[in-house]
Amino acid sequence: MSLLRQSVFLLLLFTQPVWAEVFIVASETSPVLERLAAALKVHTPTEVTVSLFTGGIPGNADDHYFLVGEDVIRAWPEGTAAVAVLTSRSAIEANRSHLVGAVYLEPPLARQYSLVRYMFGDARTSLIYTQDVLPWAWPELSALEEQGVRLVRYQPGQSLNYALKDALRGSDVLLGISDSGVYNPQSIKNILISAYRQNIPLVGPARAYIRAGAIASTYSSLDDIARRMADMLKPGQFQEFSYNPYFSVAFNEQVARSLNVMLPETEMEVVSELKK
Amino acid sequence: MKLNRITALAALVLMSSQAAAFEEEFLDVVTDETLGGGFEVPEVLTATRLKQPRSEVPGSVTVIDAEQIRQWGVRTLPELMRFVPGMFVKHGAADAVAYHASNPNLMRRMQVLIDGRSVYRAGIASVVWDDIPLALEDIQRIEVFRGPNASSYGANAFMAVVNIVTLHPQDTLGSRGYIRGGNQATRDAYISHSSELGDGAIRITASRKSDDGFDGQYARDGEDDYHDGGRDQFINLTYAERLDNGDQLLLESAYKWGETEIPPGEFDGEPPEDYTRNGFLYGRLTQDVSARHSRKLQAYWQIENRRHPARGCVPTVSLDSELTSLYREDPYWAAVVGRLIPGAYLNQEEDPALYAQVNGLVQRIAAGELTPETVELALETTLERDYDISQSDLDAAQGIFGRAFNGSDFEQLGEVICGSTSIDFEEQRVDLEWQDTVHWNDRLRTVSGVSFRRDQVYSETYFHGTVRNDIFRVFGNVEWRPFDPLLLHVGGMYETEDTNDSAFSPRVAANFMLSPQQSIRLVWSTAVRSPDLLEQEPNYYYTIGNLDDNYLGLTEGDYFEQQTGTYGQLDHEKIQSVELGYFLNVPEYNFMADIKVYRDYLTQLISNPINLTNPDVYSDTEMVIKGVDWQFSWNPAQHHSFWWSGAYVNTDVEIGEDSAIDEETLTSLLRVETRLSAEYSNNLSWAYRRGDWGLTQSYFWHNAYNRENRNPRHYRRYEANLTKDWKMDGYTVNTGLFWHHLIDDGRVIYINEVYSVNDLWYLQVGLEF
Repeated sequence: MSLLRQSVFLLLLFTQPVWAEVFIVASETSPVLERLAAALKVHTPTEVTVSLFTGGIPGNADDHYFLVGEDVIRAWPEGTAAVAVLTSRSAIEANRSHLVGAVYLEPPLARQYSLVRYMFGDARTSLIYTQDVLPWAWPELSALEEQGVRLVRYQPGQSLNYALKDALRGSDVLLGISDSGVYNPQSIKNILISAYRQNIPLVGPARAYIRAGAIASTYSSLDDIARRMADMLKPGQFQEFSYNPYFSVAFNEQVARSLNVMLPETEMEVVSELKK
Repeated sequence: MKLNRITALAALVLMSSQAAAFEEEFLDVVTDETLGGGFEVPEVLTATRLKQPRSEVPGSVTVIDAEQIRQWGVRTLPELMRFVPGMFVKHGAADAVAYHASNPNLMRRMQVLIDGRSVYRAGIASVVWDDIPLALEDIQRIEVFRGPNASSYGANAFMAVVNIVTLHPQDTLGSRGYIRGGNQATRDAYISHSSELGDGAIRITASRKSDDGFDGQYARDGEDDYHDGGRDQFINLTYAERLDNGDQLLLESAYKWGETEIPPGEFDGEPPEDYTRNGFLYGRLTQDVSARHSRKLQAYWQIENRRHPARGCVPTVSLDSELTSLYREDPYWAAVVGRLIPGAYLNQEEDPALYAQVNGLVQRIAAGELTPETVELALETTLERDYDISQSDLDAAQGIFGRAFNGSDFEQLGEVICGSTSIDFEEQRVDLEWQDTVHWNDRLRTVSGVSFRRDQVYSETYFHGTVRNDIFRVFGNVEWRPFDPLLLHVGGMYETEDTNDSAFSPRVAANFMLSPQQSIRLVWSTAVRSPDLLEQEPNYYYTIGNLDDNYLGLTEGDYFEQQTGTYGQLDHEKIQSVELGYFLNVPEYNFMADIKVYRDYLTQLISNPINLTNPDVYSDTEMVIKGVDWQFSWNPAQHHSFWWSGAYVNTDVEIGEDSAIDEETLTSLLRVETRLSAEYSNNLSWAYRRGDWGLTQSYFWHNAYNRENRNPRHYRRYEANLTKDWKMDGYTVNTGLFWHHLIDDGRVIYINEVYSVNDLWYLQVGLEF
């Protein structure tokens, strides 16, 4: 490092006002966390540190803590204000007393359904969920049902094929839900092949399934997450549980072409449309 | 902490410059939930598994799906084919379906496949729809490729290919059944159960269908005096499994039996029936070698057994073995001796003058009093027939007539005796095919393969033994996208077989993509239809046994008119087709359009019927068919869907000069090739559904069917299908009322193929759980 650059760094360090520090706390290290920290740094002047959780609380009491993963949240001492990020809503709801706020990892169902409406008009949509769906998910599911989405209940332990048959029958689109009882790396092959066999596209449940063959999904990129985290660092906004209002849309162009589905010209077009 | 801060800042400086580059990477990492459980979602819909988009297909395709089949509510496959642009259907027994133009007697210029298995008959080129052991309820979709497609499917994919894909048993889990009844003695039943079995899924379906067919030209007000009904039933078993290594296995089998009433023919003592017993075993293994490479092995065996026991009655003279010998030398003169002259004796009371003239002629021939010239003259004056007769012809006739002399006259030439006949027919096919598909890159895809097929037929009547034909095939198709808006297809199939010459059927096509869902295509394709075993190797004659007492003293005899390899080598029927097509899909309005303008040039067509009374068959008819096909579908709202298909067909037929046929036969041959087509046709359908109710109405308007005829016929039909479901606690009761109204109640093709009522209807009640 050149002498000049070193001097600039030192200057930056000493001229910066003393703000509370931001810690991203996880039970494992990951390059992703470093990238998240870097992305967050773009949106906030605050110091961002990735910290490995070993039981103790890093920093001072007035620092901001973003917890990643259920392990950390569960072990986090109640009373130390912390917000969960990069964590599924079910893990967050299960340990809500340890948190003051959260940004759920998954996209909200209402937004996913808006994507369905945007892409397929008033297509007949169905959704498979597990029987023991958590109470917090009910309002979202009921809202979809009121809008005409057909809900098909699946009892884990039984064969998914029966639920799948019911859901695909008389439907134009299958809407995925972040419910690992239904959608997981083992089940996705069967779901996608069955739906595709009947020319029915799967929307969602997450971006990870796009590569597998889902046609589209909204998702929050690391930058979207960082932007939300930066918003929460603003005074009075730390204590909020919500889906991420910042999001992007991903498509599988090959699958769309094969199902004779026309994709929007640009991703931005969809995002701005869905935000309306 | 300070060190950490420095590192973080340093990282920031470095990373911000690379942000764009690594964004892609970390998005995947996050969404693959590496943080959560360390799992990775597999790529499922790989390049090899993805179907070709409609806009990129090198030809015109009409797709009918399970939902449309339910909405339209029809009972048979040919009725479904009416919705396809340019398809014409002859309803009733031995339903014929023709694309643009074809002979209505046999459906032989179209290939029909069920899950890749050809149901085109092995022995007599045709498809018998009623013999297909498949319920419409078990069909997932029907893809009709309109145009020659021999480069993919081989010979007989001539005018069109009907590709039927059945429902995967996993998609029908549970039980379904219905009963259906209506007028025209319609009585159908269907029961099906699917369940998981081991790692796969299995479906068993049993179905029965029966009706009494057309009513005949003299029937009135619901009467039926035409013997053409049918009763068919089958059991079908389908098993599908995804094996541990990812391979997909599909096994199918079926057994079908049925009776078809046959309108009585010339020699039938009483109305006969065909008894059929069919079965098949089918297996297919699909393997994804990689995301870009897959291969498929398919094998099947099928057997079709047809019995036609009947009591036939013929003039005794027609069983005279000397008449048979005469027929081999001069079939036309033999027909006079064996059919025309006995006919005069048979019609003694109806036409006494003719009888007296012919009887005098026979007496003088038997007495050896006449020369060939005088007989020729006599025939011309009495029977208005022009013949060239030799002395040996006359000598043979003298012997034949002489045997009928009872000491005082030749009355016995009018003797008709009855006996039992049975036309047995057993066709078998074994087919083995291997296919390999490789996506070399995003711009190049190849499909290639080899196949072997053995067709074997046993029939005493048609072949007097067993004949077989082995076919070897090699095929390859290349799809190349030199740049984004252009897709080129080049392909061909080479076939070599025992019975016919080798044939190569190429295709070249280009799709210009105006957008991903809009294209213009230009297609040049060819195909052949192989003359079948009966056309190439007939050894065709009737044996009648258990004969009544007769003047020849026979207990068993062979009818004199026989076809024993006299046709010689017939050439392949050939088609060359040029097509300009336009495809448009507007998903936001659920609108799809396909328009095709084409010119088909068909040569070496075999127009003459293959039957005992027709000694000459030539492959020399030529036909030019030009026209337009159109097809639009539109679902403007969830509750409505519209379908409009239609065609303009312009045919020009020319019978070859080889055919030594008279003017009358020529006219009838010209007519036969265009009999099953209308110049203009339109098929409209509107489906409306709301909640558990559904109403689909369809209207068919075909003008000028059979244009060569002086009085072209209209085909106008209105259909409505009203359905209502009741759902309760996992059970669904479905009911339906189907109504088919004949706006034009006249015949479309044959005089007896009419109904004595103007409305056909049936009710259906089903249960699903």
